[in-house]
Amino acid sequence: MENKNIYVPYKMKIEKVTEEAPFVKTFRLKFMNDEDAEKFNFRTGQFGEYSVYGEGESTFCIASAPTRKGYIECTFREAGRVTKALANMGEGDIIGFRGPYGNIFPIEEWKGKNLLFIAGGIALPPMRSVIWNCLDLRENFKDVTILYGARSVADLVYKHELKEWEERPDVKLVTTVDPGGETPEWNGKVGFVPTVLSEISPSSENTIAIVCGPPVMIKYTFPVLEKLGFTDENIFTTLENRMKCGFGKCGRCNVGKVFVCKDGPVFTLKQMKELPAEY
Amino acid sequence: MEILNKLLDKTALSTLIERFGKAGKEVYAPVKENGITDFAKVDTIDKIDFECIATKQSAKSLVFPRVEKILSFEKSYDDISVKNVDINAFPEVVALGSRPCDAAGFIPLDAIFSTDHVDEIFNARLKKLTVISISCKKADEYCFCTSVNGNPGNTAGSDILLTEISDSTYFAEIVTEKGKAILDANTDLFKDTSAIDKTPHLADVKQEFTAEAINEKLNNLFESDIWDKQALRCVGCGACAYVCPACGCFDIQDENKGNKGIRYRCWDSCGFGLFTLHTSGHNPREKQSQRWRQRIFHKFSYQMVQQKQFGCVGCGRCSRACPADMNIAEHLKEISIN
Amino acid sequence: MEEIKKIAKQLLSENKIQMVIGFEKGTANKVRPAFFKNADDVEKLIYNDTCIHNLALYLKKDICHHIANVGIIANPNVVRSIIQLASENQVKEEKITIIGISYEGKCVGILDFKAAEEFAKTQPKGLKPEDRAFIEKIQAMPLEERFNYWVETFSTCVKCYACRASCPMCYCGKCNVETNNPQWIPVASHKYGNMEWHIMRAMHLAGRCINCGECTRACPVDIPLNMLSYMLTDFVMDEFHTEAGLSTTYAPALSSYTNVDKENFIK
Repeated sequence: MENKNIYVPYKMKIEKVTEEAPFVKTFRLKFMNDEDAEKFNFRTGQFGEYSVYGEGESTFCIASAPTRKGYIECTFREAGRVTKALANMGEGDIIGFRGPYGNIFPIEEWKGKNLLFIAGGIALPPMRSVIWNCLDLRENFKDVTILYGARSVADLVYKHELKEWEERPDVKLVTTVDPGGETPEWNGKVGFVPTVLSEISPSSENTIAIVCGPPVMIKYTFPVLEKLGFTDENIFTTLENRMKCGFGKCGRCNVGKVFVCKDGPVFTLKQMKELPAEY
Repeated sequence: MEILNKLLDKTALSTLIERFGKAGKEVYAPVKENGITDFAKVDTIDKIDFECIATKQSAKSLVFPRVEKILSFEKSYDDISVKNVDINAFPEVVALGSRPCDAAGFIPLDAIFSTDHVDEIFNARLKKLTVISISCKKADEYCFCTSVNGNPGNTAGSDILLTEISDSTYFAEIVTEKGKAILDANTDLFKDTSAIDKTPHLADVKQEFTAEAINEKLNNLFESDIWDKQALRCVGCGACAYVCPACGCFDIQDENKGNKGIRYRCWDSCGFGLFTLHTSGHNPREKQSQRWRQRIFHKFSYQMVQQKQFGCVGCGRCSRACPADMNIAEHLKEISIN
Repeated sequence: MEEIKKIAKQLLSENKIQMVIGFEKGTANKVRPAFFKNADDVEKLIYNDTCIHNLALYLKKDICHHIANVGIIANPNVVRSIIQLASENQVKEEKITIIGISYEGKCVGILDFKAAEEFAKTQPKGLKPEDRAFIEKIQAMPLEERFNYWVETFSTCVKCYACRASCPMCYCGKCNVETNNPQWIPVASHKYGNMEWHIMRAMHLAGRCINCGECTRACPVDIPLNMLSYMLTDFVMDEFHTEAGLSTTYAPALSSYTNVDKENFIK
């Protein structure tokens, strides 16, 4: 019998490390085996299990866009055993990667629509993949608005990319930090994401909203979107339940009739409303 | 395959065990040790506890061990080599004297490990397992198999089902190809017979509700206060999940010593708060009653959608093991009339 | 039993307490913990010599939050647990009404903490003669044999943590076994993972365990882990001359310093 072991990760080399914010890093990863690199394919919204041998696995989305070939990127905050070990690794080190798992953002279906991205804190990474994916296919979409908030200026991730988006004429970027998180030089907004959202009050006409953030931000952002006229099918988010296996076996991301890992992580608000609120 | 009806002398069992041993098969059967009966490796028939209604733990560890290595690794100065599990090294195993509920438990477990991504490690163990169950002639107040589509003479999940029809004879139903392979290798031990009505030889387990009715009821019960009420005395341990033949949830962990180590999967339970705790500290199922609700919903509602199987075989092990008398049959009955 | 009911009913109807933790008839001729919120409910309350669950466990559970005063049917083990919890600042006297039951099953009425301390001193501990014999047998083993005995005994542990979950003294919000940074105890229920877990737990309970035996009763695979705790209780008694569960001002032997503490372990 041949063992097609679903738990064995790809071997990947850390090609580049970027310090994003305090305790937040981005790794650019390359397949060490050319065959793996060729076979590997993912679509925006999917995630993977990143492993440090001897410490374990940790779940993050793939933060790079599928349109950028030859590598994948992940951004993580140092929090537990595995992420701490990851944070201690540097360029040239080897880690494991299993994936891609989960469903996708249906960007094919968004052709010809306006896109409104709303992200909070460390939840920009899952959004970054779809943002770049859409920007790389910019002609497919109409207006692109990005609203990004973090606790403080230091906590904003992808600072150089924020700058790039700010300078692009075809992207409207609004950044905000929580009250008290601003610096004297800060020229973005000050306020919580839901508040700023109702302030800038984007049109819901022919628009898809993609929301990603901590549970409390999501909770207060949905009502604002609904007030702005967004329908439940046009609001997308990606859920971040605790996971281990990534393919609907270990049981921990089971919410109602779905596994977040297998049937998600991307859900519309309509789908979420059909689930028990256990996310 | 169509079930073949045979007769097997009780004394022939010891010959069977002997032949299994000679063929390199490991035989696991209920063995009483230090007062409790559980599956253990046997080489002679006299060690087997045939009287036990249900072993304390189920037979699931034969295919889904408490701790299962899923890969090993070794780090060198500038590389890491990852080694796959050698599934060919798994032993051929015979579960002898398991109960029909034990055998039925392999079905939902298989569904979990084989839906979509196929878990080859689990499947290799299952392929190498032959299940020779013995019908129940006795039941206790915890048994409720008949309420969840099972019965004391259920053949589902068994390769051969033996039913004691006299002090000296088993009626043997050869259910699967694996069972037939045993028959073919031991034709001298099995005698021909026509079909026999097993009913008089089976325990009487009263049907109190149906799994379908529970499934139906749950559609409107998520927000009910019944979960708070039922879970009041639950202490939040994982005993119910660990003795359950159908619970398949697991954790994945690494362990290493120096440069070498393994990654394993090990049993976990939805009854633990840690099971769903996010890194941020947010827990989608914060209260014990929410976890209890998850247990019932998962077995009777979600699994039916995800894997087309109910996740409960009515063995009653969880109720027997519970330190706080959380009796699942009592609670299900309450749900069915809610 | 009638007297217990009478007291419970009266306390509830006078609103001196808002809930009673006691026992009711369970399934399969068993008894089980139950929570009574009004005098009528109390009719279902029972008490007999099979009511051995340590109900003090529930004082630290959600069910007792937001209840001004909880009545608890307390046999000597429960009383000792409450005293021990009080000494660790885990329960407050003004929030608990102890309805004491002696080891012979006699109701001794309502006990305040002072009276509870006196009561606890008069009650024999849960150690049965056969337990004593068991301990002596283990203690007579040479060290290596004894260690191997425990390794083997704990090897059947499935790590369901029923021992922890049913122990009133295991109230930590985050158990040591749930921390993974660093990973003190292996998650797996293999031989050494089990051994480390049980040694860790025994050490954390040394000088705090009141020897109710609830851990062993809860264990689905019947591991006599309470024997290890009993042995540690003996050890603490020999070395420090103190015992848990008798005084609300008790300082646990292993987490407090006195100037008579032996220092002979420093080599």
